[in-house]
Amino acid sequence: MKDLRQWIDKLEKEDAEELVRVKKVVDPSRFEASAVVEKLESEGRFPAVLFDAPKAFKSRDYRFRLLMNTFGTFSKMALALDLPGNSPRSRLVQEILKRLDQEKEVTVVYPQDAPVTQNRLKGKDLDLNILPIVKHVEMEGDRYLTPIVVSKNPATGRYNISWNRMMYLDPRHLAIYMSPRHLWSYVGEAETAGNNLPVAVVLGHHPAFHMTGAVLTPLEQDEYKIAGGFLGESVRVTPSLTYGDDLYIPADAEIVIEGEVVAGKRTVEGPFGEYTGCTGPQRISWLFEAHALNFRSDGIIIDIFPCKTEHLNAHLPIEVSLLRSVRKAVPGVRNTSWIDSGGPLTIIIQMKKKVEGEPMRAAMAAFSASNFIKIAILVDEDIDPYNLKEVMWAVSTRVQPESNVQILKNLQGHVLDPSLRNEIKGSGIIIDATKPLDRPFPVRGRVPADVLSRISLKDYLS
Amino acid sequence: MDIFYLTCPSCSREYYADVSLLSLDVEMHCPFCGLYFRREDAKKVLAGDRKLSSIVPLTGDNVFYKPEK
Repeated sequence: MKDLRQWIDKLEKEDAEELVRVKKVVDPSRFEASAVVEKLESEGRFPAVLFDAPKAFKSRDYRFRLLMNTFGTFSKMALALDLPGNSPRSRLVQEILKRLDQEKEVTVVYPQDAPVTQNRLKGKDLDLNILPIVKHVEMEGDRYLTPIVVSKNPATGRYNISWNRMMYLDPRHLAIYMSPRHLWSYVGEAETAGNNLPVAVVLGHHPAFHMTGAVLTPLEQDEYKIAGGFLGESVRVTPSLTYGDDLYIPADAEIVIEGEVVAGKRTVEGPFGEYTGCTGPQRISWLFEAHALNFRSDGIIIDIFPCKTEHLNAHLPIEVSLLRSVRKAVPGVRNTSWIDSGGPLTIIIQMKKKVEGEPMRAAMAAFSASNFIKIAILVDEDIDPYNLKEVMWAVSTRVQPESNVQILKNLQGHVLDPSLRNEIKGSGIIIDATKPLDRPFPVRGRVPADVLSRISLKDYLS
Repeated sequence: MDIFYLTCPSCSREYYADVSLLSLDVEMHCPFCGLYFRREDAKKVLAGDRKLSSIVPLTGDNVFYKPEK
Protein backbone atom coordinates (compact mmCIF):
# COMPACT_ATOMS: atom_id res chain seq x y z
CA MET A 1 0.00 0.00 0.00
CA LYS A 2 1.11 3.52 -0.75
CA ASP A 3 2.16 5.96 1.90
CA LEU A 4 4.41 9.00 2.22
CA ARG A 5 7.48 7.00 3.21
CA GLN A 6 7.17 4.80 0.13
CA TRP A 7 7.03 7.95 -2.05
CA ILE A 8 10.07 9.47 -0.35
CA ASP A 9 12.04 6.24 -0.94
CA LYS A 10 10.97 6.26 -4.57
CA LEU A 11 11.98 9.90 -4.96
CA GLU A 12 15.39 9.21 -3.48
CA LYS A 13 15.95 6.22 -5.78
CA GLU A 14 14.60 7.68 -9.02
CA ASP A 15 15.48 11.37 -8.78
CA ALA A 16 17.80 12.03 -5.85
CA GLU A 17 18.16 15.71 -6.73
CA GLU A 18 14.49 16.17 -5.98
CA LEU A 19 15.00 15.54 -2.26
CA VAL A 20 17.29 17.16 0.27
CA ARG A 21 17.53 16.21 3.92
CA VAL A 22 18.21 18.70 6.67
CA LYS A 23 19.64 16.99 9.71
CA LYS A 24 20.37 20.18 11.64
CA VAL A 25 17.87 21.22 14.32
CA VAL A 26 15.61 23.95 12.93
CA ASP A 27 12.89 26.01 14.56
CA PRO A 28 9.98 26.20 12.12
CA SER A 29 8.04 28.52 14.42
CA ARG A 30 10.75 31.15 13.86
CA PHE A 31 10.67 31.01 10.04
CA GLU A 32 13.82 28.86 9.88
CA ALA A 33 12.30 26.05 7.79
CA SER A 34 10.55 28.40 5.38
CA ALA A 35 13.78 30.42 5.03
CA VAL A 36 15.60 27.28 3.84
CA VAL A 37 12.93 26.66 1.19
CA GLU A 38 12.89 30.32 0.17
CA LYS A 39 16.68 30.37 -0.22
CA LEU A 40 16.54 27.25 -2.41
CA GLU A 41 13.79 28.82 -4.51
CA SER A 42 15.82 31.99 -4.97
CA GLU A 43 18.54 29.78 -6.48
CA GLY A 44 16.01 28.22 -8.84
CA ARG A 45 15.93 24.96 -6.90
CA PHE A 46 12.69 23.31 -5.83
CA PRO A 47 13.56 19.98 -4.16
CA ALA A 48 11.40 18.48 -1.44
CA VAL A 49 13.04 19.34 1.87
CA LEU A 50 12.85 16.79 4.66
CA PHE A 51 13.69 18.31 8.03
CA ASP A 52 14.78 15.50 10.31
CA ALA A 53 14.89 17.52 13.51
CA PRO A 54 12.32 20.32 13.54
CA LYS A 55 11.70 21.80 16.97
CA ALA A 56 8.28 21.65 18.54
CA PHE A 57 7.15 23.92 21.34
CA LYS A 58 6.81 21.03 23.74
CA SER A 59 8.22 17.65 22.88
CA ARG A 60 10.90 15.44 24.20
CA ASP A 61 8.92 12.20 24.17
CA TYR A 62 8.04 12.11 20.49
CA ARG A 63 9.93 12.87 17.33
CA PHE A 64 8.29 14.31 14.24
CA ARG A 65 9.72 15.27 10.90
CA LEU A 66 8.67 17.98 8.50
CA LEU A 67 8.44 17.79 4.70
CA MET A 68 8.21 21.00 2.65
CA ASN A 69 8.16 21.60 -1.11
CA THR A 70 6.51 18.24 -1.79
CA PHE A 71 4.85 19.88 -4.80
CA GLY A 72 7.75 22.14 -5.72
CA THR A 73 8.06 20.57 -9.19
CA PHE A 74 5.76 18.75 -11.58
CA SER A 75 8.27 15.91 -11.73
CA LYS A 76 7.63 15.08 -8.07
CA MET A 77 3.90 15.14 -8.77
CA ALA A 78 4.43 12.87 -11.78
CA LEU A 79 6.27 10.37 -9.58
CA ALA A 80 3.33 10.49 -7.17
CA LEU A 81 1.09 9.37 -10.04
CA ASP A 82 3.46 6.54 -11.06
CA LEU A 83 4.74 8.42 -14.13
CA PRO A 84 8.41 8.94 -14.95
CA GLY A 85 9.71 12.10 -13.29
CA ASN A 86 10.61 13.64 -16.64
CA SER A 87 7.08 13.34 -18.02
CA PRO A 88 5.94 16.45 -19.87
CA ARG A 89 3.23 18.59 -18.29
CA SER A 90 0.70 17.41 -20.88
CA ARG A 91 1.28 13.78 -19.82
CA LEU A 92 0.67 14.72 -16.19
CA VAL A 93 -2.55 16.48 -17.14
CA GLN A 94 -3.72 13.43 -19.13
CA GLU A 95 -2.96 11.17 -16.17
CA ILE A 96 -4.96 13.34 -13.76
CA LEU A 97 -7.88 13.40 -16.23
CA LYS A 98 -7.73 9.61 -16.38
CA ARG A 99 -7.52 9.13 -12.63
CA LEU A 100 -10.45 11.45 -11.98
CA ASP A 101 -12.61 8.74 -13.54
CA GLN A 102 -11.06 5.80 -11.69
CA GLU A 103 -12.83 5.94 -8.34
CA LYS A 104 -12.05 3.14 -5.92
CA GLU A 105 -14.03 2.04 -2.87
CA VAL A 106 -12.22 2.41 0.44
CA THR A 107 -10.85 -0.62 2.27
CA VAL A 108 -11.66 -0.60 5.98
CA VAL A 109 -8.96 -2.09 8.18
CA TYR A 110 -8.82 -2.72 11.92
CA PRO A 111 -7.00 -0.05 13.94
CA GLN A 112 -4.28 -2.54 14.85
CA ASP A 113 -3.54 -2.88 11.11
CA ALA A 114 -3.39 0.88 10.59
CA PRO A 115 0.09 2.41 10.91
CA VAL A 116 -1.43 5.77 11.88
CA THR A 117 -2.70 4.30 15.17
CA GLN A 118 0.81 3.39 16.33
CA ASN A 119 0.52 6.24 18.86
CA ARG A 120 -2.78 7.67 20.08
CA LEU A 121 -3.21 10.55 22.49
CA LYS A 122 -6.44 11.94 23.88
CA GLY A 123 -7.82 13.69 26.93
CA LYS A 124 -5.27 15.45 29.12
CA ASP A 125 -2.40 13.83 27.21
CA LEU A 126 -3.38 15.68 24.05
CA ASP A 127 -1.30 18.78 23.38
CA LEU A 128 -0.82 20.05 19.83
CA ASN A 129 2.39 21.72 20.96
CA ILE A 130 4.20 18.43 20.51
CA LEU A 131 3.97 19.01 16.74
CA PRO A 132 6.51 21.13 14.89
CA ILE A 133 4.32 23.79 13.32
CA VAL A 134 5.52 26.34 10.80
CA LYS A 135 5.42 30.10 10.60
CA HIS A 136 5.99 30.75 6.91
CA VAL A 137 6.14 34.49 6.29
CA GLU A 138 6.33 37.57 8.47
CA MET A 139 3.12 38.91 9.96
CA GLU A 140 1.47 35.47 10.03
CA GLY A 141 -0.98 35.31 12.92
CA ASP A 142 0.69 32.31 14.52
CA ARG A 143 2.04 28.91 13.54
CA TYR A 144 0.07 27.27 10.70
CA LEU A 145 -0.75 23.73 9.64
CA THR A 146 -1.64 23.22 5.97
CA PRO A 147 -3.46 19.88 6.18
CA ILE A 148 -5.96 17.86 4.25
CA VAL A 149 -9.26 17.94 6.11
CA VAL A 150 -11.51 14.90 5.78
CA SER A 151 -15.15 15.52 6.59
CA LYS A 152 -18.32 13.52 6.17
CA ASN A 153 -21.78 14.72 5.29
CA PRO A 154 -23.87 13.36 8.16
CA ALA A 155 -26.93 13.07 5.92
CA THR A 156 -25.45 11.39 2.84
CA GLY A 157 -22.29 9.77 4.20
CA ARG A 158 -20.26 11.36 1.42
CA TYR A 159 -16.66 12.08 2.35
CA ASN A 160 -15.06 15.36 1.39
CA ILE A 161 -11.33 15.98 1.16
CA SER A 162 -10.15 19.56 1.17
CA TRP A 163 -7.07 21.62 1.72
CA ASN A 164 -7.49 24.08 4.59
CA ARG A 165 -5.21 26.28 6.61
CA MET A 166 -5.32 25.94 10.38
CA MET A 167 -3.74 28.37 12.83
CA TYR A 168 -2.53 27.29 16.25
CA LEU A 169 -4.56 28.82 19.09
CA ASP A 170 -3.87 26.72 22.18
CA PRO A 171 -2.99 23.08 23.05
CA ARG A 172 -6.37 21.76 21.87
CA HIS A 173 -7.68 24.40 19.51
CA LEU A 174 -6.93 25.58 16.00
CA ALA A 175 -8.61 28.19 13.82
CA ILE A 176 -9.78 26.80 10.47
CA TYR A 177 -10.55 28.97 7.46
CA MET A 178 -12.88 27.74 4.74
CA SER A 179 -13.76 29.20 1.37
CA PRO A 180 -17.42 28.70 0.50
CA ARG A 181 -17.18 25.23 -0.99
CA HIS A 182 -18.03 21.72 0.18
CA LEU A 183 -16.55 21.67 3.71
CA TRP A 184 -18.04 25.10 4.31
CA SER A 185 -21.48 23.79 3.32
CA TYR A 186 -21.12 20.76 5.63
CA VAL A 187 -20.19 22.99 8.54
CA GLY A 188 -23.11 25.27 7.75
CA GLU A 189 -25.57 22.38 7.66
CA ALA A 190 -24.26 20.93 10.93
CA GLU A 191 -24.33 24.32 12.61
CA THR A 192 -27.90 24.97 11.48
CA ALA A 193 -28.85 21.72 13.20
CA GLY A 194 -26.95 22.84 16.28
CA ASN A 195 -24.20 20.26 15.84
CA ASN A 196 -20.44 20.30 15.67
CA LEU A 197 -18.91 18.75 12.56
CA PRO A 198 -16.38 15.95 13.22
CA VAL A 199 -13.36 16.10 10.91
CA ALA A 200 -10.03 14.36 10.52
CA VAL A 201 -7.04 16.64 10.01
CA VAL A 202 -4.52 14.69 7.92
CA LEU A 203 -1.01 16.08 8.26
CA GLY A 204 0.87 13.72 5.99
CA HIS A 205 0.00 11.02 3.47
CA HIS A 206 1.14 10.01 0.00
CA PRO A 207 1.22 13.16 -2.19
CA ALA A 208 -1.39 11.66 -4.53
CA PHE A 209 -3.78 11.64 -1.57
CA HIS A 210 -3.06 15.31 -0.89
CA MET A 211 -3.60 16.16 -4.57
CA THR A 212 -7.19 14.98 -4.19
CA GLY A 213 -7.76 17.99 -1.95
CA ALA A 214 -7.42 20.20 -5.02
CA VAL A 215 -9.98 18.44 -7.22
CA LEU A 216 -13.20 20.24 -8.13
CA THR A 217 -15.93 17.62 -7.85
CA PRO A 218 -19.70 17.59 -7.77
CA LEU A 219 -21.06 17.57 -4.24
CA GLU A 220 -22.33 13.99 -4.59
CA GLN A 221 -18.97 12.45 -5.55
CA ASP A 222 -17.18 10.75 -2.63
CA GLU A 223 -13.64 12.06 -2.41
CA TYR A 224 -12.16 9.11 -0.52
CA LYS A 225 -13.05 7.17 -3.68
CA ILE A 226 -11.42 9.82 -5.87
CA ALA A 227 -8.32 9.67 -3.67
CA GLY A 228 -8.28 5.94 -4.46
CA GLY A 229 -8.21 6.85 -8.14
CA PHE A 230 -5.30 9.23 -7.59
CA LEU A 231 -3.39 6.69 -5.52
CA GLY A 232 -4.11 3.92 -8.02
CA GLU A 233 -5.37 1.75 -5.18
CA SER A 234 -8.10 1.85 -2.54
CA VAL A 235 -7.57 4.26 0.32
CA ARG A 236 -7.19 2.15 3.44
CA VAL A 237 -9.20 3.69 6.26
CA THR A 238 -9.80 2.81 9.89
CA PRO A 239 -12.33 3.86 12.52
CA SER A 240 -11.36 7.01 14.36
CA LEU A 241 -10.65 6.85 18.07
CA THR A 242 -13.32 9.43 18.89
CA TYR A 243 -16.10 8.69 16.41
CA GLY A 244 -15.51 5.04 15.52
CA ASP A 245 -17.20 4.00 12.27
CA ASP A 246 -18.89 7.40 12.01
CA LEU A 247 -15.62 8.93 10.81
CA TYR A 248 -12.97 6.91 9.05
CA ILE A 249 -9.43 8.22 9.05
CA PRO A 250 -6.74 7.27 6.50
CA ALA A 251 -4.95 4.22 7.90
CA ASP A 252 -1.65 4.92 6.14
CA ALA A 253 -1.39 8.59 7.02
CA GLU A 254 1.51 9.85 9.10
CA ILE A 255 -0.47 11.97 11.53
CA VAL A 256 -4.21 12.56 11.97
CA ILE A 257 -5.85 14.94 14.42
CA GLU A 258 -9.47 14.07 15.21
CA GLY A 259 -11.78 16.79 16.34
CA GLU A 260 -14.74 19.00 15.55
CA VAL A 261 -15.52 22.31 13.95
CA VAL A 262 -17.43 23.87 16.82
CA ALA A 263 -20.94 25.12 16.09
CA GLY A 264 -21.61 28.71 17.02
CA LYS A 265 -18.00 29.59 17.76
CA ARG A 266 -15.65 31.84 15.81
CA THR A 267 -12.16 33.18 16.28
CA VAL A 268 -9.86 35.74 14.69
CA GLU A 269 -7.25 34.14 12.44
CA GLY A 270 -4.42 35.39 10.24
CA PRO A 271 -2.76 37.23 8.67
CA PHE A 272 -1.61 34.35 6.47
CA GLY A 273 0.65 34.10 3.43
CA GLU A 274 -1.88 32.93 0.86
CA TYR A 275 -1.58 31.13 -2.47
CA THR A 276 -2.00 34.41 -4.31
CA GLY A 277 1.49 35.35 -3.14
CA CYS A 278 0.13 38.04 -0.82
CA THR A 279 -0.21 37.98 2.94
CA GLY A 280 -3.95 38.08 3.49
CA PRO A 281 -5.46 40.03 6.38
CA GLN A 282 -6.62 38.85 9.78
CA ARG A 283 -10.12 37.43 9.35
CA ILE A 284 -12.95 35.77 11.22
CA SER A 285 -12.64 31.98 11.07
CA TRP A 286 -14.16 28.88 12.56
CA LEU A 287 -12.94 27.11 15.68
CA PHE A 288 -11.62 23.55 15.62
CA GLU A 289 -11.38 21.56 18.85
CA ALA A 290 -9.00 18.60 18.89
CA HIS A 291 -10.10 15.39 20.62
CA ALA A 292 -7.42 12.87 19.66
CA LEU A 293 -4.07 12.65 17.93
CA ASN A 294 -3.02 9.57 15.94
CA PHE A 295 0.51 9.31 14.62
CA ARG A 296 3.21 7.01 13.41
CA SER A 297 6.50 7.08 15.24
CA ASP A 298 8.79 9.61 13.55
CA GLY A 299 5.66 10.93 11.84
CA ILE A 300 6.14 13.30 8.92
CA ILE A 301 4.11 16.48 8.57
CA ILE A 302 3.59 17.69 5.01
CA ASP A 303 3.68 21.46 5.10
CA ILE A 304 2.80 23.52 2.06
CA PHE A 305 4.67 26.81 1.77
CA PRO A 306 1.47 28.65 1.05
CA CYS A 307 2.47 31.70 -0.95
CA LYS A 308 5.23 30.03 -2.95
CA THR A 309 5.57 27.87 -6.04
CA GLU A 310 4.64 24.57 -4.44
CA HIS A 311 1.22 25.81 -3.38
CA LEU A 312 0.38 26.93 -6.88
CA ASN A 313 1.68 23.63 -8.32
CA ALA A 314 -0.44 21.70 -5.87
CA HIS A 315 -3.43 23.33 -7.56
CA LEU A 316 -2.78 21.40 -10.80
CA PRO A 317 -5.80 19.13 -10.16
CA ILE A 318 -7.94 22.29 -10.04
CA GLU A 319 -6.60 23.31 -13.44
CA VAL A 320 -7.30 19.83 -14.80
CA SER A 321 -10.83 19.94 -13.33
CA LEU A 322 -11.30 23.26 -15.11
CA LEU A 323 -9.99 21.82 -18.38
CA ARG A 324 -12.49 18.99 -18.10
CA SER A 325 -15.40 21.40 -17.47
CA VAL A 326 -14.42 23.76 -20.28
CA ARG A 327 -13.85 20.93 -22.74
CA LYS A 328 -17.25 19.50 -21.87
CA ALA A 329 -18.84 22.81 -22.87
CA VAL A 330 -16.65 23.35 -25.95
CA PRO A 331 -14.99 20.18 -27.28
CA GLY A 332 -12.61 22.22 -29.42
CA VAL A 333 -10.70 23.29 -26.30
CA ARG A 334 -7.19 21.86 -26.51
CA ASN A 335 -5.36 23.02 -23.37
CA THR A 336 -5.65 25.31 -20.40
CA SER A 337 -2.91 27.14 -18.57
CA TRP A 338 -3.82 28.38 -15.14
CA ILE A 339 -0.85 27.57 -12.93
CA ASP A 340 1.60 28.77 -15.57
CA SER A 341 -0.37 31.85 -16.53
CA GLY A 342 1.66 34.01 -14.21
CA GLY A 343 -1.34 34.85 -12.06
CA PRO A 344 -3.27 32.77 -9.57
CA LEU A 345 -6.63 33.93 -10.91
CA THR A 346 -5.98 33.89 -14.67
CA ILE A 347 -6.67 31.08 -17.11
CA ILE A 348 -5.48 30.86 -20.70
CA ILE A 349 -7.63 28.63 -22.87
CA GLN A 350 -6.24 27.31 -26.14
CA MET A 351 -8.90 26.15 -28.58
CA LYS A 352 -9.76 25.27 -32.13
CA LYS A 353 -12.61 27.66 -32.74
CA LYS A 354 -15.24 26.25 -35.10
CA VAL A 355 -17.81 29.04 -34.94
CA GLU A 356 -17.94 32.55 -33.54
CA GLY A 357 -19.14 32.72 -29.96
CA GLU A 358 -17.39 29.54 -28.86
CA PRO A 359 -14.63 31.42 -27.02
CA MET A 360 -17.25 33.16 -24.90
CA ARG A 361 -18.89 29.83 -24.11
CA ALA A 362 -15.55 28.33 -23.13
CA ALA A 363 -14.77 31.29 -20.90
CA MET A 364 -18.19 31.16 -19.28
CA ALA A 365 -17.69 27.46 -18.58
CA ALA A 366 -14.45 28.29 -16.78
CA PHE A 367 -16.11 31.01 -14.74
CA SER A 368 -18.99 28.68 -13.89
CA ALA A 369 -16.69 25.85 -12.88
CA SER A 370 -14.70 27.80 -10.34
CA ASN A 371 -14.40 31.11 -8.57
CA PHE A 372 -10.62 30.72 -8.93
CA ILE A 373 -11.02 32.45 -12.30
CA LYS A 374 -11.09 36.23 -12.63
CA ILE A 375 -9.40 36.63 -16.02
CA ALA A 376 -9.90 34.34 -19.02
CA ILE A 377 -7.78 34.74 -22.15
CA LEU A 378 -8.71 32.67 -25.19
CA VAL A 379 -6.20 31.86 -27.91
CA ASP A 380 -6.10 29.82 -31.11
CA GLU A 381 -4.25 26.55 -31.65
CA ASP A 382 -1.25 28.33 -33.14
CA ILE A 383 -0.54 30.03 -29.81
CA ASP A 384 1.30 28.14 -27.08
CA PRO A 385 -0.77 28.85 -23.92
CA TYR A 386 2.27 28.19 -21.71
CA ASN A 387 4.34 30.84 -23.49
CA LEU A 388 3.19 34.19 -22.13
CA LYS A 389 5.07 36.10 -24.85
CA GLU A 390 3.05 34.24 -27.47
CA VAL A 391 -0.18 34.81 -25.56
CA MET A 392 0.45 38.54 -25.26
CA TRP A 393 1.33 38.67 -28.97
CA ALA A 394 -2.11 37.23 -29.71
CA VAL A 395 -3.74 39.71 -27.33
CA SER A 396 -1.88 42.55 -29.03
CA THR A 397 -2.65 41.57 -32.61
CA ARG A 398 -6.04 39.82 -32.46
CA VAL A 399 -7.97 41.86 -29.90
CA GLN A 400 -10.02 44.97 -30.49
CA PRO A 401 -11.02 45.88 -26.94
CA GLU A 402 -14.44 47.27 -27.79
CA SER A 403 -15.59 43.96 -29.26
CA ASN A 404 -13.25 41.28 -27.90
CA VAL A 405 -13.13 42.22 -24.24
CA GLN A 406 -16.07 41.60 -21.92
CA ILE A 407 -16.35 42.66 -18.30
CA LEU A 408 -18.54 40.46 -16.13
CA LYS A 409 -20.00 42.14 -13.06
CA ASN A 410 -21.36 40.82 -9.78
CA LEU A 411 -19.53 37.50 -9.97
CA GLN A 412 -18.66 35.40 -6.97
CA GLY A 413 -14.99 36.19 -6.66
CA HIS A 414 -12.33 34.42 -4.65
CA VAL A 415 -12.16 35.48 -1.01
CA LEU A 416 -8.37 35.39 -1.15
CA ASP A 417 -8.15 37.79 -4.11
CA PRO A 418 -6.38 40.80 -2.57
CA SER A 419 -7.97 43.17 -5.07
CA LEU A 420 -11.55 42.38 -3.97
CA ARG A 421 -13.31 45.36 -2.42
CA ASN A 422 -16.37 43.40 -1.34
CA GLU A 423 -16.19 40.28 0.85
CA ILE A 424 -16.71 37.94 -2.10
CA LYS A 425 -18.55 39.71 -4.91
CA GLY A 426 -16.25 40.81 -7.71
CA SER A 427 -15.93 41.01 -11.45
CA GLY A 428 -14.28 39.13 -14.27
CA ILE A 429 -12.81 39.83 -17.66
CA ILE A 430 -12.84 37.77 -20.85
CA ILE A 431 -10.26 38.56 -23.52
CA ASP A 432 -11.00 36.78 -26.77
CA ALA A 433 -7.66 36.71 -28.59
CA THR A 434 -8.77 34.21 -31.22
CA LYS A 435 -8.80 35.18 -34.89
CA PRO A 436 -12.23 36.04 -36.30
CA LEU A 437 -13.83 33.43 -38.56
CA ASP A 438 -16.43 35.73 -40.06
CA ARG A 439 -14.08 38.09 -41.86
CA PRO A 440 -10.69 37.84 -43.55
CA PHE A 441 -7.76 38.14 -41.15
CA PRO A 442 -4.01 38.33 -41.81
CA VAL A 443 -1.94 35.21 -41.27
CA ARG A 444 1.33 35.07 -39.33
CA GLY A 445 4.37 35.82 -41.42
CA ARG A 446 6.13 32.53 -42.15
CA VAL A 447 8.70 31.22 -44.63
CA PRO A 448 7.00 28.55 -46.79
CA ALA A 449 7.16 25.17 -45.06
CA ASP A 450 8.38 23.32 -48.18
CA VAL A 451 11.38 25.66 -48.44
CA LEU A 452 12.19 25.24 -44.76
CA SER A 453 12.16 21.47 -45.08
CA ARG A 454 14.30 21.59 -48.22
CA ILE A 455 17.23 23.55 -46.85
CA SER A 456 19.84 22.62 -44.29
CA LEU A 457 21.70 25.35 -42.41
CA LYS A 458 25.04 23.61 -42.75
CA ASP A 459 24.86 24.18 -46.51
CA TYR A 460 24.72 27.95 -45.92
CA LEU A 461 26.83 28.68 -42.85
CA SER A 462 30.56 28.34 -42.95
CA MET B 1 -12.08 42.68 0.83
CA ASP B 2 -10.73 46.02 1.96
CA ILE B 3 -8.42 45.98 4.92
CA PHE B 4 -7.53 48.31 7.75
CA TYR B 5 -4.31 48.80 9.66
CA LEU B 6 -3.83 48.45 13.40
CA THR B 7 -0.91 49.23 15.65
CA CYS B 8 -0.54 46.88 18.61
CA PRO B 9 -0.83 48.61 22.01
CA SER B 10 1.93 46.40 23.42
CA CYS B 11 4.66 45.98 20.79
CA SER B 12 3.70 48.97 18.60
CA ARG B 13 4.02 46.96 15.41
CA GLU B 14 1.53 47.41 12.61
CA TYR B 15 -0.47 44.72 10.82
CA TYR B 16 -3.75 44.53 8.96
CA ALA B 17 -7.15 42.92 9.22
CA ASP B 18 -10.24 42.40 7.11
CA VAL B 19 -12.47 45.48 7.24
CA SER B 20 -15.40 43.31 8.42
CA LEU B 21 -13.60 43.15 11.78
CA LEU B 22 -14.05 46.91 12.18
CA SER B 23 -17.71 46.53 13.01
CA LEU B 24 -17.50 43.41 15.18
CA ASP B 25 -17.19 43.21 18.95
CA VAL B 26 -14.11 41.00 18.89
CA GLU B 27 -10.62 41.09 20.33
CA MET B 28 -7.88 41.51 17.76
CA HIS B 29 -4.75 39.34 17.86
CA CYS B 30 -1.31 40.82 17.33
CA PRO B 31 0.68 38.47 15.03
CA PHE B 32 3.95 39.76 16.41
CA CYS B 33 3.62 39.58 20.20
CA GLY B 34 0.46 37.44 20.47
CA LEU B 35 -1.50 40.00 22.51
CA TYR B 36 -5.28 39.90 22.28
CA PHE B 37 -6.56 43.45 22.55
CA ARG B 38 -9.63 45.51 21.95
CA ARG B 39 -9.58 47.61 18.84
CA GLU B 40 -10.17 50.81 20.79
CA ASP B 41 -6.95 50.07 22.70
CA ALA B 42 -4.88 49.94 19.49
CA LYS B 43 -2.29 52.68 19.26
CA LYS B 44 -3.57 53.49 15.81
CA VAL B 45 -6.36 52.30 13.54
CA LEU B 46 -6.26 53.34 9.91
CA ALA B 47 -9.10 52.17 7.73
CA GLY B 48 -8.83 51.38 4.04
CA ASP B 49 -8.10 54.29 1.76
CA ARG B 50 -7.19 56.64 4.59
CA LYS B 51 -3.82 54.93 4.82
CA LEU B 52 -2.53 56.72 1.76
CA SER B 53 -4.03 59.20 -0.62
CA SER B 54 -2.77 58.88 -4.17
CA ILE B 55 -3.49 62.56 -4.68
CA VAL B 56 -2.50 64.16 -1.39
CA PRO B 57 0.28 62.04 0.12
CA LEU B 58 0.49 62.08 3.92
CA THR B 59 4.06 62.47 4.99
CA GLY B 60 3.72 61.01 8.48
CA ASP B 61 1.89 61.44 11.76
CA ASN B 62 0.78 64.85 13.04
CA VAL B 63 0.69 66.45 9.61
CA PHE B 64 -2.68 68.11 10.03
CA TYR B 65 -2.71 71.79 10.83
CA LYS B 66 -5.15 72.99 13.46
CA PRO B 67 -6.18 76.60 12.82
CA GLU B 68 -5.60 79.09 15.62
CA LYS B 69 -8.70 80.30 17.43
